[in-house]
Amino acid sequence: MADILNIPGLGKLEIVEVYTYYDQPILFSCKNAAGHLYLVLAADENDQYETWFYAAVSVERLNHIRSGAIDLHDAFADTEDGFLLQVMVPYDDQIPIRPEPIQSNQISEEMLPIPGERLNLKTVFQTREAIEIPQKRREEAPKFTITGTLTGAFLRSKRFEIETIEKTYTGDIAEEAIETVKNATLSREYTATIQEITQRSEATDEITKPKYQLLSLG
Amino acid sequence: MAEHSVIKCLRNERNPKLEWPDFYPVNCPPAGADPASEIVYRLVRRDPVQAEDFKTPWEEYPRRFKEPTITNCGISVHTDLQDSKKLKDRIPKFRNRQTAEGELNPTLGIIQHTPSIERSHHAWWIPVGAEPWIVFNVIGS
Repeated sequence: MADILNIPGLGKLEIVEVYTYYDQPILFSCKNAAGHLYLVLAADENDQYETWFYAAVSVERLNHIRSGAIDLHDAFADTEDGFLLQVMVPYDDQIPIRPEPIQSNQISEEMLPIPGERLNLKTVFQTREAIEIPQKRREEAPKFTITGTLTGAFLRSKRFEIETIEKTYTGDIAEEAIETVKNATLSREYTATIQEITQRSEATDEITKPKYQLLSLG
Repeated sequence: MAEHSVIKCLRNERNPKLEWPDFYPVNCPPAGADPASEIVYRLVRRDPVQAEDFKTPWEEYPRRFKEPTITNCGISVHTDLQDSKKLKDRIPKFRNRQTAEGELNPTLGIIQHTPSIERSHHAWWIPVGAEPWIVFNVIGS
């Protein structure tokens, strides 16, 4: 079966946060190289293919979906631009993926979350303006949770490495997490709260490659 | 990451009596997971439940992953039936699946609590030769 993070028209996608996992991430946010955010849902399955929805979301809207202010039904049935990408992913590798833009208000209820289902996650609200203001300062993104294997933990340099299905997260260990990491076991799977930290280059003013800060491990 | 002060060395605590599939990576199942011994719920496609309902993600979606990992060699189950119901409400792909209940025992593998929004989510690693479908029964759609 094809890679659901490499969709024609969207490009190579990188998972930002997994909200629901069942054998694989089935409700998650991701972004492409241009920084466009998408909320992705496993919408249907039959004998030949899975159907996935990719809804473009702004940072503000994703915050509202995370917090539960917007329920999961409306996150897909009432998208910001009125459209989403429906992607048929065949089990047979010889058959290509079929992405198709559809009007979000035309989606069958059977392919949508039940109205009223919400994520209700603690959400640090961040405005688009706050993200786009070009300043030479450390910019902090919302915290998010990952589940993966602790593959590196170095107390002296306060560095960590956690490997998930999608990617390997590396970065600094926050002071409040040091004690927990001391008692952690390498190669064991943990659920960790981390935060993406980006910095702007002093020379070019462009955002440098993102790093992560480990806030808690449990 | 090459650095001297690794805080702990890995100790693989998997049950030596169980034999794991060849494609499992080193140290899978992870140290810290426990012998399976609880009642769990799995969303299945077939009634009666069959071997295909227990394929690992690595086997079921071979091109979706670069390599087998601890995570994609384990399958998902819930220990709280309500979480399975909630997942079907949230994720339409699973709405037509049926819920099967099974009482696990240590011969059926190793299990670890890996909560997400569904707090009772567990990852379960099944050894070679185990036939978990024998202990599972569909209890509802």
